[in-house]
Amino acid sequence: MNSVFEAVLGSWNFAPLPLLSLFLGAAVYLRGWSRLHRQLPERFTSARCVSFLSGLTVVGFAVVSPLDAFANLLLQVHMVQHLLLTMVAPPLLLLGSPYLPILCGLPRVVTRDVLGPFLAAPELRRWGHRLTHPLFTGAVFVLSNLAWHHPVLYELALRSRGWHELEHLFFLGTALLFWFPVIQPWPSRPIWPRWAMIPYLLVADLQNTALGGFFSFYDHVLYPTYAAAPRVWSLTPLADQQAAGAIMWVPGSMAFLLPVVLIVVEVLSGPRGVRPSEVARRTRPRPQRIRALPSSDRAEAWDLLSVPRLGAVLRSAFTRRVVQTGLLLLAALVVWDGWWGTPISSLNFAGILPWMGWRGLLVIGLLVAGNVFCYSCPMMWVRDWGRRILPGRLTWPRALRSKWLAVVLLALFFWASEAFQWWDRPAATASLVVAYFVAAVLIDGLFKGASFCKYVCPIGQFNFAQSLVSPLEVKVKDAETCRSCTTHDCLKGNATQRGCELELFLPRKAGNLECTFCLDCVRACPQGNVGVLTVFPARDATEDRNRSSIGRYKRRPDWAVLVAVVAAAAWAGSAVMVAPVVQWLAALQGSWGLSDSWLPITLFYLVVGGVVLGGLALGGELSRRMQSGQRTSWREWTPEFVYAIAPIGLAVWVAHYGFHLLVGVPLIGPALGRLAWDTGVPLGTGLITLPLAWREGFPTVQLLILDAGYLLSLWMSWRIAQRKATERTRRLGIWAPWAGLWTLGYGAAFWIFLQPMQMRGLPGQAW
Amino acid sequence: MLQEVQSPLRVTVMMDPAEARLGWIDLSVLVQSAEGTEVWLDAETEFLLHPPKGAVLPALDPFCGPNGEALSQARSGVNSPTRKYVATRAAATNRLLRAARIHLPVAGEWLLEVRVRRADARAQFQAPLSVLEPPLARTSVVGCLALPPLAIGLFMTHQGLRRRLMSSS
Repeated sequence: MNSVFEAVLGSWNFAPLPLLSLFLGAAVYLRGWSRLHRQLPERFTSARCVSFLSGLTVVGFAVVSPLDAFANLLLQVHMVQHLLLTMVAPPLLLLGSPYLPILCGLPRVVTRDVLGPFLAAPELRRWGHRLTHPLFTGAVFVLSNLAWHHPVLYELALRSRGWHELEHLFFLGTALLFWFPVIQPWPSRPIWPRWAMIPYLLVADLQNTALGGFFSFYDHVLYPTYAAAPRVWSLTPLADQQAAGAIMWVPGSMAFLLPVVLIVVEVLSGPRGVRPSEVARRTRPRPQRIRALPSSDRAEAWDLLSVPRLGAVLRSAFTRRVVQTGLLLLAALVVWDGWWGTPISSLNFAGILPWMGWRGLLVIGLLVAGNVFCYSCPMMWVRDWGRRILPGRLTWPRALRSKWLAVVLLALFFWASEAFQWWDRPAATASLVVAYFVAAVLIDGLFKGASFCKYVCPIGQFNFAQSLVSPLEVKVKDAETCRSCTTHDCLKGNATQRGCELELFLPRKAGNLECTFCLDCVRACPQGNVGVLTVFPARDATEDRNRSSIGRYKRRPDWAVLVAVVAAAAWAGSAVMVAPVVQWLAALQGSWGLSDSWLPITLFYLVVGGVVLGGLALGGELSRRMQSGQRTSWREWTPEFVYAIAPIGLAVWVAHYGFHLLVGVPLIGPALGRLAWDTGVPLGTGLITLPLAWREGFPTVQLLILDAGYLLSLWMSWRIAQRKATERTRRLGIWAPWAGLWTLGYGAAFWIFLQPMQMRGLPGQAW
Repeated sequence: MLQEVQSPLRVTVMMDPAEARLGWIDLSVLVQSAEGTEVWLDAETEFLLHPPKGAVLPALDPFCGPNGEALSQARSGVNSPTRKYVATRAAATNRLLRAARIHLPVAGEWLLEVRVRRADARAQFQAPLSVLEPPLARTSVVGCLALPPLAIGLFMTHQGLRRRLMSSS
């Protein structure tokens, strides 16, 4: 094959976003269609499914195929792309009668709770009726077609990717509207009689013919970009424009005239004088049949452990040991390299693995799954081994059975890692890792259960606090099964499997607090009634109930302060790495004549911590004053709302640590090279580079994550406020101080992530 | 778009976006025979970007770096302000072209130098490249800022509709 021709055929652009959207659309449609096909096979035929999927394929082909790559060089190619988006894909999509399959294909909670009120609203129905009125759809299609072919807008689309995508969205959207009354997908009702579609299509064809004719006969090149574009084939810009006009004129007209012929046949062969109301009556959907879905379809939570093979692998204790061993080996590498490797943080595994890679993976794990680090914690592996020597017989002191010790340790950890720049001191990092292992072995070797995890481990507390927002939770699948249980193996264990070391009794466990995802309870339950189920992130923290081992959130100020400290550290930690704050701290250090930066950083942490904790305290008081009748004490009122800071806090952590992960991955190559140099092993010294598009788009991803966290925090506090007051104004009054606080936090984080990042300790960068 | 004919090569350089601003741009090149009748896919192309006079380039990339380039320079001891990029077919969506993703860290008048080589044929030319400051409000930032109010508006409408639905039923 000719190499040029081969290059043309190879010019596909598999951009992830459009492809993901199309696959998601196909998956939702298929899910809904398969349900409806079982109930209404005569209505939702296989042909409809094929038609819809073909429509999506045509859209995909138009935007990722060589048509898109050559659209800026040849107008005729661009015209073909537009015809696919306006004449081919929309009718195919509408022939798939997508309305009900998409509604049935979406998760039930989305259809019922999120979309339900909108779909039932008469105003929106009226708007829908207006939007699909043939007068409107015809006019908007014709106007959009004419407007986008005007040289000003067309050139704009050729010169800017964003405008080009907008142009395609307009073409597809208006074409879907245009073809709607022609196809009349079930269960919509026709507004005009069927015969009226003939003039409707003919008018649209008239516009198409006029535009196509104009392109074909106009003696100047309309668009300067095509006039200047290199001639890949021996075709002048004018000839290219004429060919584009012919494509628009002939195949375009056929797309209008073919349905006209079909409608003429339909009208002539069908019963005469069928009125729209009669057609509507005949095609009216029967909602009662559609609602009657099989009971299995109503299941709201999905169990990760029910996935064939994966479930068995996750459930197995051996899998956990393998993962823990992997992390143990990495910890050994960190210690070895930290103590004996070249002490340049960005080229040392004690700098890269814990401070850049692990932290990023940890928060992403919390966001997309749950407490995955505690599941794979290597310290528990060593501790279990150490218990052969130290069996752990003492009971943890009653005075320390709260989170206060953990709050202090966590705050110290956050402060010290920045103030003493542990991330830039490989030897200190290695010593910290060793100290952590020794503490875990000693504490759990002396005390019963998992006292270290429950009361001491700062990493564990961080994970507990942030897993409030995780979408997975270890919980019972069927509460009825637990009622008849008398052995309580999930808590007490049995001969072959220990129970929950953190004293969580599964039937009364709610939320992720204190759950290490060790899955001991899953293995211990003889009924197999414990799973890793999907939950709506953060919803649990909006409910007031008595939880096993924790009690009521409102009576746990220690937990609330822990969540607040984790969140405060999120802002402080990300702020100290952006240029303006770095410069300000350096100026402070200079003006005080200090040789080290720990004092300005300490001050900064104290200020941020004070502002966050003080703000929460004030928010609690202002919100409490809005109560009616007898007021709850501040001490009991405030903690409940404080948990709502967790989502925005996690968003800041993910945006911050995700950045470190992105920067850290390319450093693995140079670090390996440095290790090779140190040890004399020829490992190679190549650099790993990430695709630039990933890095370039990350600031937007950071801001979107922040948006999601902010909205979830607002929603959480709203739900708690809803519970606190029945009257609308009062409820708003209770919510407003919290909404104000989250908005301030969001604004601060938004500013932080718009600043240039300064990661100290990397080569060529001075503090 | 920039076109240069240095027999036997015809070189066309295209830029996306059409107006260079601080940050990232795509530079693509199409190499043809001087008459424009043939496309030569095997022509090797390099872009050299000379920064504006007196400009201080950050050592690191906008993500704080160090990018591969900065590290290579640190390791080799070379620290030239000129940035060199090799255009490849893999980086181009249109496989008739070669492309490179280029980072422009400072605004001002840059000088773009294009070097093309195919067998014995060579073409080399320079062109000024004006790099503007980024717009005050980037679309992505405005979009991200607009998202929460939009979501809150939808949520409030949702709650209102839900309340009405519940009271009517």
